[in-house]
Amino acid sequence: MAIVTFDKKELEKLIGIKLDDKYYKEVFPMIGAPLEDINESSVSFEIFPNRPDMLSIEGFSRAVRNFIGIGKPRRYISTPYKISVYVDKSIKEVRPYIVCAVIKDVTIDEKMLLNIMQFQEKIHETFGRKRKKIAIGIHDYDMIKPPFYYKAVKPDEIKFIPLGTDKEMNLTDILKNHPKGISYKHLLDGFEKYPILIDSNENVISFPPIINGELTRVNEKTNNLFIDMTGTNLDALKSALNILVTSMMDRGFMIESVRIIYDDGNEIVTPDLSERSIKVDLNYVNKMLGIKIDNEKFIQFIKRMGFNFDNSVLIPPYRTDIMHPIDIVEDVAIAYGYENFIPELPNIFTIGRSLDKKEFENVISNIMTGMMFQEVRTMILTSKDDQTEKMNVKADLVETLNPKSDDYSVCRIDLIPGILNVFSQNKHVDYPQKIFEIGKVVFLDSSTETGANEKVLTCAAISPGNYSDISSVINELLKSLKIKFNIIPCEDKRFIDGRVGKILINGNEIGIIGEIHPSVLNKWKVEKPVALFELNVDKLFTLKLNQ
Amino acid sequence: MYIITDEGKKYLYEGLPEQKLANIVKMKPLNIRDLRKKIKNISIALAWAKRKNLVKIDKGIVKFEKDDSQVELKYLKKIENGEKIPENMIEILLKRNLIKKKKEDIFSRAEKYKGKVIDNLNEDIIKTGIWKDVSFRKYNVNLLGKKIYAGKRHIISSYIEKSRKIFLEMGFKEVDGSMIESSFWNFDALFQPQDHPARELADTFYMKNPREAILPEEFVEKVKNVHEHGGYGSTGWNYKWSNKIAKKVIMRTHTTSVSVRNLPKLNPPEKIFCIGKVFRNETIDYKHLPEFIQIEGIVASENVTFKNLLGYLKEFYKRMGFKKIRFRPAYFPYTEMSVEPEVFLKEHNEWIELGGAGIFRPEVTMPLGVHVPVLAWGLGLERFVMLKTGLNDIRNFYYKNDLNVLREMPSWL
Repeated sequence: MAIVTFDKKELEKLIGIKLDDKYYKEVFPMIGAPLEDINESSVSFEIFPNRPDMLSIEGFSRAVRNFIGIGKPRRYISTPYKISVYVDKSIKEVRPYIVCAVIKDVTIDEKMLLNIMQFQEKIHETFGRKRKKIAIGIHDYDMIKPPFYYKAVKPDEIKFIPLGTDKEMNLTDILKNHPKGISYKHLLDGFEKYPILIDSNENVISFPPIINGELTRVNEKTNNLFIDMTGTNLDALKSALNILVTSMMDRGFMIESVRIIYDDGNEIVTPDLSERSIKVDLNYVNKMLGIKIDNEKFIQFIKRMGFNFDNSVLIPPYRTDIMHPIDIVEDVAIAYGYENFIPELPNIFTIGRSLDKKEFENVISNIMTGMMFQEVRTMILTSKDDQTEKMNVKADLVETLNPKSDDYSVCRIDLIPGILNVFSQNKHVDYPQKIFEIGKVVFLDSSTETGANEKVLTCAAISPGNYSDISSVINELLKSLKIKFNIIPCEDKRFIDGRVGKILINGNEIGIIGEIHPSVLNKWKVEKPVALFELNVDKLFTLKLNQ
Repeated sequence: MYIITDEGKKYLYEGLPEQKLANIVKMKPLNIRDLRKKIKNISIALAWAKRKNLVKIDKGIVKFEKDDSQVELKYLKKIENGEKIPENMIEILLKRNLIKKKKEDIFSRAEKYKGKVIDNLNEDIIKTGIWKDVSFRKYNVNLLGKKIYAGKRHIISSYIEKSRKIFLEMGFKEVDGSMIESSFWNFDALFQPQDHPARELADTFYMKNPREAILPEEFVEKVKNVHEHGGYGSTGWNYKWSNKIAKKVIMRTHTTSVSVRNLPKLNPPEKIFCIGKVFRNETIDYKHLPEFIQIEGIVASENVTFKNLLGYLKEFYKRMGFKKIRFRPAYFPYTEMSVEPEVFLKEHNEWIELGGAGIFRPEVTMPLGVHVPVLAWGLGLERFVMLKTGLNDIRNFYYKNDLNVLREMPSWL
């Protein structure tokens, strides 16, 4: 989730009108920019992943101006290229693509610099997948001499002063010691050569996707900017470049194209600011939204969302999210105003039907609550220790790869640990405590699509309680379900020997009943005796169905 | 109260057996064998006569010594007349089985309440009608008795049941699905590109065991194509789709995986819902748990519209007791339009977001063979239970199961 923070004065200056707090709270969310925070001087919005163009203050203001009707969709044209970037074949395996642009005659103040840096950072984080897909470099153009060269070099082959330091370092040193090197070195894992962008004097412009050279640091005296974006997906790079240069053009700056020449002779010119077109059938719009608007209204709506229209919808170069006519339909809906749709239930006749098994589970719950048992719900995810060591058992468990804590690293295979945890957490609460749970447990099963399977169990427990107490309960529960059962003694290390039995129905084992062994109670720090039973609800249900 | 036993009555008439014995030997000393013929219960008579020194036994011959005062008979008479006698005498008579405790009848038991101020009303007072002659002590009716605890459903279960009921009443069919899922059904079939941030380790639980799922052959190519090149009017995401990434086993991040698995089986018009656990790789705090409940629903029909989607959402929240609701544009990779319903809470004076909804993108439905619009939503449950109950720590629900809290939860929602 990307949150951007803008200076209120700056934003209102770019939009062109003064806005009150209510406007921020009520109107912006309806454009698709929920307000996150607002104070005297600044305002923060959440920007959805499909609208990276709104990560820049200029792009954001443009969207607002169009939406409220004080701006009109414009066209963007860059001037022809004068300089070139040569792409060496050595880069192909490492970070194959680069797109560039030159921004002429800029006037930069501190606020604008902060905005550019925020934009760069947010693009890196979201659209750029933490620099993997897109890394952006912004440079003082007048410090470097074209043409430029994008290639891969051995880490110790080249030295330069990275941004934010005053010392020459080679690429290995940067990855080891520079903060940005440490943060992003994993992106170059496994490569023998690293990407580098240099100028005609062999000065390092950038070491993508890690860090720029100190040489091209941008400051308030900078007159011309050179932009490089490198990455793994050319379309994404072109889009990101378009978003940045159109923002700059909205500020009134001129963009000069750059020619990118590959070693196989292919060349492209960036940025590509042409408009894609997409055909959208008005009937489709009306049918999907459940409204009736005419063509004139349609055009008016899409213009408010920043599109031009010429027989088909023209997509501005900064809109990277339009894949299908349905995307235009959504923009029409936003322009129409979500608040203006009158919610309406359709007249579709279908018959409601619950799952029999869920109803069966409810019957069990009703019987249990009737016997004054309080239902509890414990976690599916738990620790291996809870499921095995603390229960005196061994088991193969369904296990997660990347838990943030061992406390939820495996799926429970049994309800009893969760129940004991409840007793352990509730020692301050009035006794007796009678609790039950109905819930899913997960186990390995190579016969399924995923290799795991699930079943529903129920466990009821009394503390302090003994075998006699809990056997009354199982008797009443199964009698109420019209199920005949018997209990045979068994051995189970979780329970006291001689006070534990398997519950059988027609010879099928469906559960266990007994008094929990003090060694288990000790491990759970439970201080009063616990008697409980656990039943396989799935089996019970199947047996019931066949009765 | 005591009454005279049959034995007592006999002695009252005949005299005590020891005096009878004394009378006989007074005339002539006799041996025990001869006496046995004359007196029925000779052993009792002889025992008491000896004890009271009425007779003397000399070489088997019983000789007279003195007469008995027969004081017992005097007291038996008194008992017969209903008079009181001393405790020590009662003891003696009871021991000799000459009297017994009179079984009190209900009327005599109730008699003692007559004219009294009564604490507890009992069966005797009700049955005998003595209640007409008693008065009842007035209670402090505001004083409550000892605390008791009902057996209750967990508050989350109560809200699940309420949600189920709402959708069942609206004609929805209930479905269920697996919590352990392949990336394919959780992400790929939902047109979520494989480098989408939501698929990262930081947000999704990937499984160490089991690790790899089997992909559904009939859909793999179609889903791969729509990711790589689009189709059905779409440009697609334009990248190289990997089989291996789709096979990764995860804990489902939304119940939408259940809806998507049901898409190929649909026979529109259909309405389906599912309520179940979903998992996000979160650090536990008062607001976050790695698992929570989602309420999932889809409606597939030729003629459903965005307006209808809002209609279902509004109806659901209205029945859940939220009066003021608004719909805000949102973004999900698999729906377009996307919307987040929000309810207004007076106490907080703000709009609270409670879930996500939208119409499935054609890139989701078409490869699975569904050619009608499909409305879909996945709504959070815990958050509005917290708002409704005033609980402000989500850990109370599953992690701690604080019985003090659960026992106090309302059953009527």
